[in-house]
Amino acid sequence: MALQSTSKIRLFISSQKEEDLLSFLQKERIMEIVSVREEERSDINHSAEFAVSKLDFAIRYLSQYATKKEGIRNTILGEKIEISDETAKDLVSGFHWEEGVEKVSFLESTKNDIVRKLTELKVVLASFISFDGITIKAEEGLFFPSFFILPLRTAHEFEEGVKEISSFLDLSRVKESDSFVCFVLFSKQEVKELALQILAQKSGSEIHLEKGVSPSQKIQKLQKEISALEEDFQKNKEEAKDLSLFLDNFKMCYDEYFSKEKLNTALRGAEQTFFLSVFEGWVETSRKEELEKKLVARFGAVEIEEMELKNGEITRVILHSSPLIEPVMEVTKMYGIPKIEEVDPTPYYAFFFLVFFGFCLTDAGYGLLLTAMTGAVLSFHLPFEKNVIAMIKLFMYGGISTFILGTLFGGWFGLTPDQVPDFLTYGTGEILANGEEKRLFLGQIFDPMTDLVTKIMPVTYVLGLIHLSLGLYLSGLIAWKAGNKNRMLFVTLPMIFSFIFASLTWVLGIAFFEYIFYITLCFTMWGLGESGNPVLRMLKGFGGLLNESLGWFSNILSYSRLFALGLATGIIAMSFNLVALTMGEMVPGILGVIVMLFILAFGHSLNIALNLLGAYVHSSRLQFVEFFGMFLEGGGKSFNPLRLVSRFRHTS
Amino acid sequence: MEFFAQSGIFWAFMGACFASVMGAIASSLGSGSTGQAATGLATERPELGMKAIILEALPGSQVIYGFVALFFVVYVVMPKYEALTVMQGLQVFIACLPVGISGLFSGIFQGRVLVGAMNMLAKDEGSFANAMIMGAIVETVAILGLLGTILMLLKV
Repeated sequence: MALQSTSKIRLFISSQKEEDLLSFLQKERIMEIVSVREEERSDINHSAEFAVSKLDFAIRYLSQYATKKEGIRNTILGEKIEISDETAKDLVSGFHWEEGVEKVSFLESTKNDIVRKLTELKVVLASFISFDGITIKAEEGLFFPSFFILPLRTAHEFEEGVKEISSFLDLSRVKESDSFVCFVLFSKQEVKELALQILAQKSGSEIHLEKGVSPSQKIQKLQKEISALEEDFQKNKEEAKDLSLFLDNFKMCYDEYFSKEKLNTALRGAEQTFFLSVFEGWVETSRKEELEKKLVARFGAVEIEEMELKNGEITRVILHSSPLIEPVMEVTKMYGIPKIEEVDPTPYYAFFFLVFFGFCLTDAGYGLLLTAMTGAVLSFHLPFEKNVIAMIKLFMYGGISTFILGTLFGGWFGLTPDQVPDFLTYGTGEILANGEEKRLFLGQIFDPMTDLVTKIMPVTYVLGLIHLSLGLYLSGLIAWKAGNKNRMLFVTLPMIFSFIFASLTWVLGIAFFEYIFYITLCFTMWGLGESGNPVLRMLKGFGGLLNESLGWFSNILSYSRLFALGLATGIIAMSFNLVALTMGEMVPGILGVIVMLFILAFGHSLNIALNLLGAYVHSSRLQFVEFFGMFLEGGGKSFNPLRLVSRFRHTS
Repeated sequence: MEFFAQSGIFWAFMGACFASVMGAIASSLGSGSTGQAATGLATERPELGMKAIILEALPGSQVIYGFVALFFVVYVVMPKYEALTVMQGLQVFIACLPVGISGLFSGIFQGRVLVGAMNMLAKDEGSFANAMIMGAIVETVAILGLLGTILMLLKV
């Protein structure tokens, strides 16, 4: 449960075996390769990269036509597929993906061509369709027909204007609708030209026809062409559908070339002489010997040399934790990876995170629901990504914590003890103003109505104090590891002891410890003063102590959010209960019960959803800002070994 | 005049109300502006959605601090007296000013800082820790305001 270190190594191997070496490393996932060259090697081609982009195109295209797999499992999987190694190999072997991509490319260009032509024809058809039923054929000669279409509002003005041009013309309305009018004009060329000028002014347009063809014939011809193209489109679609049956083959080929591309990238960054290839990278320190043995056994002549770190170079780290607290590690990862000289904070804050989570919800009923729901989701072994599973587990833990804290605080769906049967409560012996005995839920220790100020608030602040003291201890530990032992001895420990002795003196009332408390403060001032003559050092230390105290006060106050959020959850739940009850009583009969149940279900679902987010965010925030702020800088880099990568294959 | 002579509780409630309403306004403005930037970030880089949500939630603290002040007034200070005098009521009101005013300004400016932090996060995913700390520094002002308020309320 700590940060595992890595060592930077240089690896020498015969240039003949460089590709085999990287394939081996990909399978073993043991070494992260970094580039050692300023310019990439030019002898490694980009064929894998091209293959990846071609396959990506084919997969994207065919995915539109593939039959969607139904069921929750497939919905979660999305574009990924669940198959064994053997099936994956079978899908790749003997599959001529280049031919497939060519076919897809042909289908795509054909489809684009069809769509373009169809669009053009439909535009032309739209201009002719108003003349449907007109059988006058376009002719050449002294007097010939012209076809115009105008909006209804300007049609009359156009008609009047054209008739004024000449008396040797025949303009007739051949079709009318609510929005447009179609005209046929028989005239000479000069008259037509003048008519066209008026047409342009009146927002009309001319319809052009080939000689000897009537609008009706033209429409029929266009419709035939469109039908033929639509048939082609359908055929194209069917072919694409047939090809989409091989989608999984394409996907597995993609993954193969994707891994190959990663390998090539590593190769491009390697130094090469005629005989030798040199790789640099990181290996888990504890597995360095294992790597060496494996490489010698497989490749014979291999040399590994440990490298000195360059100035400012960041050592790769590996976060390891027990499976129990692994889900909490997602919170650490969200913040950032610690540097190797720091500590992995996960095991230290995991408990606090879950307690804070429970505090923010503080409803045993919600806790039970959350645990049951997340447990059910996990029991189905659905193909979620690893980080999603970790988050579900985290919420399950949060549910358990909420249940425990909710039981202690008596939060049960916002109900009060008098609203549930007596066997679920117990009498405290305290007699209330109405003469009845005060009752609490079974397992309840705190009563939010009376203990909020005296017990619950102090508990949150004490939790905060312990949480921050742990952060302080870790900061001292890091300083100790870095050789600054004074920090631990004269700042960290005296401060922690001062909290303990202050508690013993003023909380438990043991006056003797007051003197020891002052001694610890003197130590702290000495430590915070850092250097200088003793008087100056103590004065500087006093200033530092004031500053530290102010910081601690403000940090501890930030933990107020715990009881504030917990209280908010309970009050909102109570409000929904009240609304449901009132509405249920207002509506008579069974309908009233239905209304009440609906409001309860809706209200509590909303309350859970909102406060769940709040619990997660604020519990995380207390770690990120208050706790990590004490000792963690972050900015580390995680160890990312060369591996076989997969975009489409689900690996559980 | 009679009202003023008996207005101790009125001023105490005014103080509690001021603290919580100012906190609420601050949080709405801060979270609102951060949220707008967060939607942009989550659109461009959906994988950063959760980080954006956490940053967006930071200015939500001011309303909590206002609520804590309200809580102190109503459940700690007021039960100590059978009836608050005008002077005590005014003391409560004045004590509530630091958390209200510091909360309001820190909420607004925290929102602005976090909008910038979203841009920073969009360019470098690893800058989340810095983004959190930058936002939290502005919030310190609100916490110190709350501290001032509580210290004064305990002396009423």
